[in-house]
Amino acid sequence: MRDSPTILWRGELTTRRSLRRRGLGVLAPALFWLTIFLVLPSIATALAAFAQRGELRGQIEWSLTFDNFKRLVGFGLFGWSADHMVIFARSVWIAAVTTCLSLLLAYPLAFFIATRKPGWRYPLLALVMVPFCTNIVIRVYAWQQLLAHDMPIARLAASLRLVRPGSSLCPSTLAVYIGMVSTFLPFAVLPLYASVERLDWSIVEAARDLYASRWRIFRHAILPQTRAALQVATILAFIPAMGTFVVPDLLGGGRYMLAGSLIQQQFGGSDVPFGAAISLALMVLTLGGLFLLRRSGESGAAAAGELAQVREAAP
Amino acid sequence: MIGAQPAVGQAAPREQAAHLAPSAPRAGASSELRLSQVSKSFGQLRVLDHVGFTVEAGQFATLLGPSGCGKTTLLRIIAGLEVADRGQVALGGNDISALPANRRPINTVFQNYALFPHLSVYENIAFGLRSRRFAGEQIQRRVRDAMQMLQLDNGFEERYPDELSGGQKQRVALARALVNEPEVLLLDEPMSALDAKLRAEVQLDLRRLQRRLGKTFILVTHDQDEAMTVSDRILVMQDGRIVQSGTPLDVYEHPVNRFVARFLGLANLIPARRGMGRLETAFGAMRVKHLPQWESGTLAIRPERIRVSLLEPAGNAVSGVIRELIYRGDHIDLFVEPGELRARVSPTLRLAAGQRIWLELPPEHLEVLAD
Repeated sequence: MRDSPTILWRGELTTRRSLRRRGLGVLAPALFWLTIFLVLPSIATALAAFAQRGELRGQIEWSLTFDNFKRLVGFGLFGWSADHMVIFARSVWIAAVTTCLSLLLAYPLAFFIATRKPGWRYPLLALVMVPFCTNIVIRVYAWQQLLAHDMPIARLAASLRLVRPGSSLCPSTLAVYIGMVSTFLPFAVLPLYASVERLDWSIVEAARDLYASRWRIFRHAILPQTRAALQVATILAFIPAMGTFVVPDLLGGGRYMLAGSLIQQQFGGSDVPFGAAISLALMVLTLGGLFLLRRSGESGAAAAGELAQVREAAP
Repeated sequence: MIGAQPAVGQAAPREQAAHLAPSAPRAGASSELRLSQVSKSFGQLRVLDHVGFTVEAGQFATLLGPSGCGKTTLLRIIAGLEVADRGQVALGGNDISALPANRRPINTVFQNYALFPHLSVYENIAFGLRSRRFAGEQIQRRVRDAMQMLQLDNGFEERYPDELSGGQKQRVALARALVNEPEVLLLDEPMSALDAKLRAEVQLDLRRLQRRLGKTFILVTHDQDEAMTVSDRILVMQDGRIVQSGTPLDVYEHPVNRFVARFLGLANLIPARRGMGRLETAFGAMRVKHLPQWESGTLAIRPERIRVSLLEPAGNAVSGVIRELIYRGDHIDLFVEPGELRARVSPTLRLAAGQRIWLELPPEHLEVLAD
């Protein structure tokens, strides 16, 4: 047996090798699960993205071609078209707006819940989570009903002269955002709540003690402590929002074709390789965005802080 | 309401030539802090019960008590971070009870320092000045002076709180508070995060700093050594009330009740009953300075005030056997039967366990407690 040096780990004399073996043992079930349901499907998707569609039955013909990606950026049978690019841009835009709205709602909500008496917090949190347990299609149909022309919300809007009397609020852009935000709000609330619950209020008090205005208290005592959670919430809301198709399809009346819908159409319409290519592109786009967000989150935050100080220092 | 107290409520920068200068006398600005009838409850729990005291300008006062006695709540009420249910906080004769924390000329050093983790040492110290929109060069000058005063060298300016040791963090917290030139500086257990040796050093530094600045400091602590070291005045708290207030000497030598006698240092507590011109105890009749009001109560004597001899002394004498003898380097602790009496004697005395000795309890050191 090769010598592995003895080390002290949490009050126990052991070797690195034995520790590593134990760690693998603990991780094995999760690794197995991830391999089956994440790694293998991802590899399959990546491979399929470079395959061709069979002419007759739409089966996958394995090959190495970039045709799918050419089609994706718009080169089709009839020359170049911007359709796919527009769909991608729209997806990013709608996901971004949804994420912003979700954060704007989730941030105060997290503070509200985290500052209740301990006995109230979990019931309130559960209320945020309850819709999440309902199937998304059912929820979206519920919104369709609620926003219909003869329902109180539409009537209220009509009486406020926001819409023509008797017209329905769905399908519309508003309905899409209502559906999207209500779907992704819980993703944003959870990490923010966890962060606010751990907030060190003595730093807030220190800011108050040092004559800080409300804005300065937020800027220097609250925001830095919740910045990481805000990033996590952004990621958790943005990624699924990018891939969604049920909500915009049903509440947008088909006028809101998003990347998710496009993928769903390909898989539904037996063009698996093209669907895989779009999926892969979406994945690369999202991960790339996240990478940039993290990078800018670290250096950018410090830079923003510096900038704010400089601005405040100026008389 | 707020406008009625212009001298205190102002958040505008005060231009002062000799800022941070040692005890620059401010004409007519007596900033004595007076609390009267302050009460506070959290739900059913009464934390403060009609607390009242006055701390004179330039005094170092300590709120001393065990955890849960209400001392931190009291400090927070003075800081304006907590609102009293009843009572008044007045500074220099002005009622500041209704002013929020950021309008009081009072700054706090928090228990775990509560430094802003994302700001450098320099920006932490400058925070209060920036909040009040001081001019750039003035901020720079005052921050530099404050850092110098607390021996934070230039190299610290760009460091971040998580790169500092406990002692350094504490000095930054002190600088961050003092740079605002508060009338009163509050310190909430500022030593609790330091190790014992550093603590003793910092206590001395703190005392010297306060003497030099001539500002009113109010310290909260549960450590009687710390209170004795730094304070001009100790306010002993028990169950939301101030039970005794006085100089360290007063409080140590003349404790008013059993709680104070036991909380500050060691004390032999001797149950007693009033007799004819004397007090009857298990050790016989004792003469005391003056007879108490009560029929039965307690006498207290510090171990080091008990005189040990081999021959029978003239005064309050108790004969006993040394049950245990503990050599402590600078003194010897004796536990004497009967009664587990504790005496503290010079290490030069030649004594042995089992030896019969006489203890003298001098009347001038035999304190008659209220309970």
